[in-house]
Amino acid sequence: MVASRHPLWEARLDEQEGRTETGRGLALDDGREVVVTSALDGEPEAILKMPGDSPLPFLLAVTLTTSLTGLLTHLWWLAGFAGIASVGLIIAWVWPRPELAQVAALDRAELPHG
Amino acid sequence: MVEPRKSVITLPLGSIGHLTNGWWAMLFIILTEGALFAYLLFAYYYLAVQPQTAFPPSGVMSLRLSLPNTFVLLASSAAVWWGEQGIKRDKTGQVAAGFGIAFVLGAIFVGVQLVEWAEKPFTFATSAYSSLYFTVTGFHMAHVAAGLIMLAALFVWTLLGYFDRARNAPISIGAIYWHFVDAVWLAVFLTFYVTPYLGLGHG
Repeated sequence: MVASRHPLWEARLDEQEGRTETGRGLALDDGREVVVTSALDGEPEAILKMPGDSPLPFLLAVTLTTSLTGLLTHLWWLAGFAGIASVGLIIAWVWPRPELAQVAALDRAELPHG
Repeated sequence: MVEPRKSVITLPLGSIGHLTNGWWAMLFIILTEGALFAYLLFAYYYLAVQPQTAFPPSGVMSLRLSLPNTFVLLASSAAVWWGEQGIKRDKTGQVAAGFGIAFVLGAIFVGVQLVEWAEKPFTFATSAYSSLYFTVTGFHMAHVAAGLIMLAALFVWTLLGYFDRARNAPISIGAIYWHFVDAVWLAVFLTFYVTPYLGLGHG
């Protein structure tokens, strides 16, 4: 847990009583996680779940490029097929995964935590 | 080696408060898309006040199909709202029913709009007015199509049990988009179909 702006110089600067500790804080070991903090004080406010590696964004870029190429060259069948493939890839990309779900803070006691 | 102590802090996942990051993202999408339609409708009104030519060139448009179609889209928005209420009480059946009904009504809207396009006496290239008509209604149809894909995906995901009272962000985000599509149509309908009856036009 970082307790100041100068974790390595806290003893010399003596700006506050709290000290940075490496053995205390959020584990963040449940997949790819980062902490959302308040802007000024750096207080932890939420945990962001990051999606893992996926070939879908690259494939989507390919199908979108193909679709637009089809439109430019008046190959409507190509634009149509690539467009449909793009929609399918977007749906696959955003397919809900419970471990990545954003959970509104209805009641903190009910919420899973990392 | 000192064993690290377990954290006792419990934090929400991915959002602070009840508004998720995806909700904010959708809000800004709506703002940018709303700006697009504002520019397009401004082009219509700019054209309408030019004195050189008769406006609308083909006369006022009939409300025979567009008015009932407007109520179909309004009903779909009501169905989405009803479905969204269900997720707050963990009634996933109500969510699926609401979004399913909205999808059917949205598909009917698209079908009626395609009939209306086919019945028009002008084409995309007939005049500036006809070009604007097909551009604006076409852009709106594209947004309806995107919304139908969202509704279909949310319908299936709800049936698969991906959402509940705590994990309801995608439902709310999809609902906001569909209401936006509905609101844009009201502006388009008012502009192209109603204002000529209210005196915006000449010649």
